[in-house]
Amino acid sequence: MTDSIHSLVPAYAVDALEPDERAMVERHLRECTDCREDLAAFRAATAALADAEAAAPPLSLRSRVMAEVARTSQLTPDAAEAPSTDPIRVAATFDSPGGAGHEEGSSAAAAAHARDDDLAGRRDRRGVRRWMPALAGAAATVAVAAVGLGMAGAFSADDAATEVALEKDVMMVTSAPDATSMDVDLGNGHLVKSDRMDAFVLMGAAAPMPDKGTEYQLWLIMEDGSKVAGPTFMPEDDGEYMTVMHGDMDGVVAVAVTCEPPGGSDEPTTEAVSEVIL
Amino acid sequence: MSAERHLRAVPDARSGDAVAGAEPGPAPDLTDLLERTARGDGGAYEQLYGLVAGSVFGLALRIVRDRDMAEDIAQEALVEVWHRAARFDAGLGSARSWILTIAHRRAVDRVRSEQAHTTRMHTHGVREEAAPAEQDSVVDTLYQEWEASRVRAGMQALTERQREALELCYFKGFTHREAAQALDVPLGTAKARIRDGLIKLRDAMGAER
Repeated sequence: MTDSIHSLVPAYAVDALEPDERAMVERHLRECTDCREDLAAFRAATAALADAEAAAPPLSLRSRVMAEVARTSQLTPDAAEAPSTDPIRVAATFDSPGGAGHEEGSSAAAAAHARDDDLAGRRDRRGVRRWMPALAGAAATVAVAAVGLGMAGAFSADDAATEVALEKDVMMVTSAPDATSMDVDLGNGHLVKSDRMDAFVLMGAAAPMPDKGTEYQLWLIMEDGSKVAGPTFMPEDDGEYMTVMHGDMDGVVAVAVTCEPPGGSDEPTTEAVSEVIL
Repeated sequence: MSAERHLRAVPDARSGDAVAGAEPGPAPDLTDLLERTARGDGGAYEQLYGLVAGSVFGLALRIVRDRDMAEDIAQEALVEVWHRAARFDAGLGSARSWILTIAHRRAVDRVRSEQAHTTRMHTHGVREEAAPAEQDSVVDTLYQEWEASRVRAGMQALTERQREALELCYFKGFTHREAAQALDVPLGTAKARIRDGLIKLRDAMGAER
């Protein structure tokens, strides 16, 4: 088994794997030092192949990239850290004790350094492991790009930019060649799943507002019954809503929506208002 | 510990030096720039852009063979670098290879989805072949030529079959299964050619040092 996964690493280095094999290798890489080192060496070779193809990009590329970057949020080192005080650097809420996406006093440098730590150990210290038995790996890759419309009402000036970034993200997922769609009973909604993009998009119209003083929050239900917290989101006045969750799709058996306090919760605190079995 | 591995497997320092030849000032280290980018440092990101945009665009162009599409892919990839900078893991390769992996994956995904929509492509007419790149921005041509000849030298070390397998997978977006089919060999053989080709290339370039 391990031998055969090991033999997939070169093909992984040149992106020549099927999505399921790719996911398998990525899981394996988290725990196999030999394969990680092999991959680093193979990638040095592929990077050289790429460098040999370098070509002057059109001047317009630079301005397009800088403009796009100016309105694009950044992920935190892993879903367990949310060190930003910048409102558009909205991050995972699932591992922060207070449930809010903003954790004060955790410098980005420390966070960047911390990514080399033993993820499982850190998660354990933070008391999250209790609801994620045997899922340390999965949790580590569930990067929640929690850019919800009107999210938490914490910012307004950047709403337009955030919305553009979100829409682009949504478009990327929904237009993925392997995107599949399912109806969701939240207003007139549907869930789009793409393994290739490692993402779920939940979107729809005519959704009722969540219970007073709460926001909707998305959850991934894993096959062992544990739940991975996703972004919170609010419908617009006309009931339109849209949210994206990125992460490893393996082992996800259902997606649910609950009403949670602003900023979201670590674990669902209310009954699901909607649930889709995959 | 990861820093040590990084130094061993990564041509960052070299590329930094080469580019510094074209720009005054100390050689910016790509890993450092990426880490600063991860903290939201726009200035670092702009420097990083200067060091990688040519390779990102060129790689995309080589794969999709259409300048507009390559520009789109390069944009998406470079924005993704900004977005995901904090997720860079030096244990899996250099900052440079991480960035190029992002670009490669996007280009390959595009090629594969285009192929899945062949019918639609026909109704949109045949795409133009890539035009020669116009030198409309400052790039370190000397460094590129040196790097290219180095890679060509590395490629010489490969057997024709290894070269073919790498070409199909890395530049044409074939999966290893498709490559096996195209080359009419068992999957295991295709896998071995990819692996052996990468090892030879790596050794020939001294990338492991």
